[in-house]
Amino acid sequence: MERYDVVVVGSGIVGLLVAYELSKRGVSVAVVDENLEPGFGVSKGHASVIHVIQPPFSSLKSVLAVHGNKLYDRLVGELGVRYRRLKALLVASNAVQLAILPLLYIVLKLLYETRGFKVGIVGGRELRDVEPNVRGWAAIAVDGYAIVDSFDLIYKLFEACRSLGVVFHLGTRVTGVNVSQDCVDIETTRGSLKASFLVNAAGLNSDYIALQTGFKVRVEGRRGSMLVFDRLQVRNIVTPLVLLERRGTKGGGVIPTTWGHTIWGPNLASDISKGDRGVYHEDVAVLLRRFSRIVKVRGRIIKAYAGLRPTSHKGDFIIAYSPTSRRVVNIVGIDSPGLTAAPAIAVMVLDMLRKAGLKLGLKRRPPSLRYLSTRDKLVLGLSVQGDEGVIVCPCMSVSLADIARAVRGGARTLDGVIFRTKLAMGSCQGQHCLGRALIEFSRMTGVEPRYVVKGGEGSWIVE
Amino acid sequence: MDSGVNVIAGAGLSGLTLARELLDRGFQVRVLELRRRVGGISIIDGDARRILDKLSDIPVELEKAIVRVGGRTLAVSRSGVEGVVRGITAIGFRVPSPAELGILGDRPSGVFPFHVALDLTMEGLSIGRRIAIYGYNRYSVLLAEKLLEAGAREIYIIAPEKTPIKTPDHIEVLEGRVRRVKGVARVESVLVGSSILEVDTLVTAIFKTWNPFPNFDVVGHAAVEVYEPQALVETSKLLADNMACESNERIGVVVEGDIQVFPRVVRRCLKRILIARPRGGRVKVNGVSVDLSMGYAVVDVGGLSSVRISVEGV
Repeated sequence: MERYDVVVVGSGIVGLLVAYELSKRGVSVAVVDENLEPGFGVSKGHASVIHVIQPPFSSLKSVLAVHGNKLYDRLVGELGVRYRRLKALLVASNAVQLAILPLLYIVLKLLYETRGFKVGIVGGRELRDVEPNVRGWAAIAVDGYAIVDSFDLIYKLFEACRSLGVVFHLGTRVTGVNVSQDCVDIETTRGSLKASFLVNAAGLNSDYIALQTGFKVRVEGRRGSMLVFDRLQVRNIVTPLVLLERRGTKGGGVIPTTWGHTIWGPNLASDISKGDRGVYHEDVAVLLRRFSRIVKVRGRIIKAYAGLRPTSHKGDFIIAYSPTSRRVVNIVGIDSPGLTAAPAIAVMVLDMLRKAGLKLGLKRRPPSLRYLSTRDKLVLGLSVQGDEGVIVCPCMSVSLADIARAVRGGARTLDGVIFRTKLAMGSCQGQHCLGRALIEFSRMTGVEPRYVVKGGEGSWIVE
Repeated sequence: MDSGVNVIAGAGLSGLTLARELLDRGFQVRVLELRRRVGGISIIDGDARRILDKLSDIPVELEKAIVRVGGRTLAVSRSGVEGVVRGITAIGFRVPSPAELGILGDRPSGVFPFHVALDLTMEGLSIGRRIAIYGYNRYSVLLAEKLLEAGAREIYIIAPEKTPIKTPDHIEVLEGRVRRVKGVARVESVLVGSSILEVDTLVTAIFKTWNPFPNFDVVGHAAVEVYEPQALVETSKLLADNMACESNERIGVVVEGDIQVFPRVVRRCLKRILIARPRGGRVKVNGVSVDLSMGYAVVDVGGLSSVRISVEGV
């Protein structure tokens, strides 16, 4: 039986970051995930925003978000992930909103600046200069936000982990956990694993894994829907200044992406479900109503998708040992702002593992994963040749060489290629590329087209 | 790239007929094609193929893409990158995304834009057994035939609105709008109006014009929503004539209602223009009634300084 220092269940952003930080310190790690690729669970639905703080400010999620935010610059620098710091602008676009703006400014200044995030007022003329496509009279600007290419982050972490020796068991479901005095036995659909420690980062399934180790928690999936537009509408994150939001709502915003699109959302659906990632007409209507007022030219909607926030019964993150053993660390209920907090969660979990007896070695230097995609090269005015010049997706300038790199990086599904390369994510949404992409992916992997899946098991593309 | 050369993006019926028309008028031309084959979506259109067969002598650079990157237009291929100065977009129709068409719900495998369904079928692959094609037009019917040939068991064409076209008896046409897709891994059903249709595949075959290259002229399906192959040939002839016209004087064209006019900018020496309206009907051109039951008509505008076009009976 394979024995590891640590087995991590879940290969979303949290599981990957824990595995990454552990493997840099010489710890032997295996990651188990039921999905065929990393980041196919909760992490698939990120809006890719690095937040600042979030009420209630004493909550664990708020503390970890503030810490995580500050760890991001180094993390993305280390991995070479596409990322940009920007502001959030709360825009007043009517007299009532304008009237409450000064008061809100003072409140936010007190709350945010003590935690290191600058708050300012942007007047009408300046707003037009900064955000010519936004309709508004004035705005409050909060520094310290960022947008990150979350798929780039996920797959660079995955590649870094693999080159640091982390073993991945994908398409593998955990069916049982047995904790004893000196080890943890993990039963899976593909055999057993033995570990000194178990980290439960299983997202929507983290309650099930926790229960296996005697830890009673409950997790619900709270859906947030997003619309994607085919162009950049804004330079910063822009959202209407609204005083009273429904409890629990984050409201979302108009969010620029690192690859030149704009996301509206996410909202928070009123119904609760564990697995429904569907987008409903009501959700879209809410987003359109909320943001149409503040955006002048919006372009075309190219996609509507939903993410699921795994919310714990406490409403806060729960990061705790199992009641019976410190060999198990549970990371439960990592809803928004989980992406922001993830690097801080990893720091906290490593500390808990160390206190429970895990020996951490000296930090090793992570491998360099920097590369230029065909699109990067063309943007820089560089020439491309050979397979780099064979463009499969003209909207996003994705070449055969980019697909080959995705395959070398471990892509096992067509979505895996799409998320890594941005293929089919442009304004034509795959019209000119998906057919060829399937053929080439099949050729490069040696998997017959009828056995290639889009994302999950059973998601066949052709027969 | 030489600025005297007209780069044509796309070697479908419009791109190739335009190349022929321009060559006949003494222009220099290069035809660039993203795919490894010519013909575009006309490859399944018997009438169009008869025209294409006569154009096989036109040199085409295959696997050469035109892309917009950082405000520049580039031709990219295995052999390198060239800047493009003058070009004509002949990349065909754009298929709006499901979200743009108001189709929400799950995002399983089995939802294909028309071109992907066609590309995979042309590769000899079977995209599904029970297939709904959303959009009722010449190409959706041709694709339905092709898919039946390829072994599909059931095909439904879903017409978002009444369209006057003939359909073979063995293809079922349903009226309604597709609202939702349901399915975890693969499409399980689609919601059409208020009824559920159990299919494993949804092909979107609703078409729009588009031109992603801002400084390019535009021809064929990229410019105007027409479905007759002859109409595409006409756009090529008209554009070539328009380009050959030395005068910069223009004919003023005023349009009322959902009518498309080609070319967009009409030079004074152009004798004819194309008027299109997929819904058919009749239009008035400077007071004269014109039949658009084919979806388009080419009308004489020689000697006119302005043209007013409006839908008849409105």
